[in-house]
Amino acid sequence: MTDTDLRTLANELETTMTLVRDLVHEVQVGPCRQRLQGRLVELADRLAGRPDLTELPVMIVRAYSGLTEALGGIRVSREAIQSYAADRITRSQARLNEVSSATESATLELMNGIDRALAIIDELGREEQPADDTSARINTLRDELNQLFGHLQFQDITAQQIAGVAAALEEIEHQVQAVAMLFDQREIAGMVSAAPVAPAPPVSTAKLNYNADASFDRSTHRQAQADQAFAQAVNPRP
Amino acid sequence: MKCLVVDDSATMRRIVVNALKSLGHNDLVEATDGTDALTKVDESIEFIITDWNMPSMGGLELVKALRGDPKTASTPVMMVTTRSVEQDILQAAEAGVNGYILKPFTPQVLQDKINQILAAVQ
Repeated sequence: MTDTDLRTLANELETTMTLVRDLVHEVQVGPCRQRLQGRLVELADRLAGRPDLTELPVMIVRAYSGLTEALGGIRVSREAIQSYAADRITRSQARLNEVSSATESATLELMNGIDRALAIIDELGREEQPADDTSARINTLRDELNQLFGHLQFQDITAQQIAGVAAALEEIEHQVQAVAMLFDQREIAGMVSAAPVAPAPPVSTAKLNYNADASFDRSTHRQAQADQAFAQAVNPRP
Repeated sequence: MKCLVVDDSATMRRIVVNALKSLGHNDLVEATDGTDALTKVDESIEFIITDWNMPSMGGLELVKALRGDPKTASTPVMMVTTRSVEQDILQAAEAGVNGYILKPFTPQVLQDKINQILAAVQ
């Protein structure tokens, strides 16, 4: 039903109700009242007691206009939500991927540099007959570089954390889309019946290729706890 | 000792390989995940170090596959992972790993754990 159709119907209803009102008034106070008996008089009296319905069409039209305006506002909000959230989430995901990629590249470059340095150290060790203290310094330098290599584990841990954040963002995007669908005007008008958006089935963390809870903690206490848990798992105490 | 290093992260593979080399282990093979590892493992592999979270086939599945094959059923396997939850450690132990190291690790921890495992299996 279009806006025009509704207004036409409202006008017709208003006209009809006006006629009914006039009829009731005629029956009640008109010159023919004394001649009318029984049921007609009773009906007229009852109609007279009812609320004035001539205002009803106006009220309906006014309410319809209000609803249309509200739905229009909601649609604008929905589109804004979709556009803003989707855009921000997409850009955030892209940024995260960029960070992950950049750290991997940087890490690989660092490792390449360390490899070259180690190769130089090996050459120094082969080409000369160093004094004891020089050998000790070379060994110390080698140990330092190897330790540095170990520090680069941050890249793997960071990548896993970032993967976890990216997955969370994807889930947020999914939920935002579901909320935005709730405000779809077509669905409200009954023209489209949207299937309820079921939450994504939980994925076993054991099957993911990342651990969102990856930690940078290098404490010996953490490894000791893992050792204890492993020992208990292998040889359970009764 | 010939080692197989399994990790989907190229960075981590290099770190583990470097740590093993610094400890004197130079006969090394690398794999990018469990599926790749199964194509490269054979009786010549004396020790396997694997990550947990990998695409295609993760570390846990890999360990179960290794333990299910008579050729690799007794090959020492060490899990090197960020997963520190007790339930995960239990799962790994039940799957048949011989040792469990948390990332980030130091070369000394790696060496100590390798020595522990080799001493236990001999």
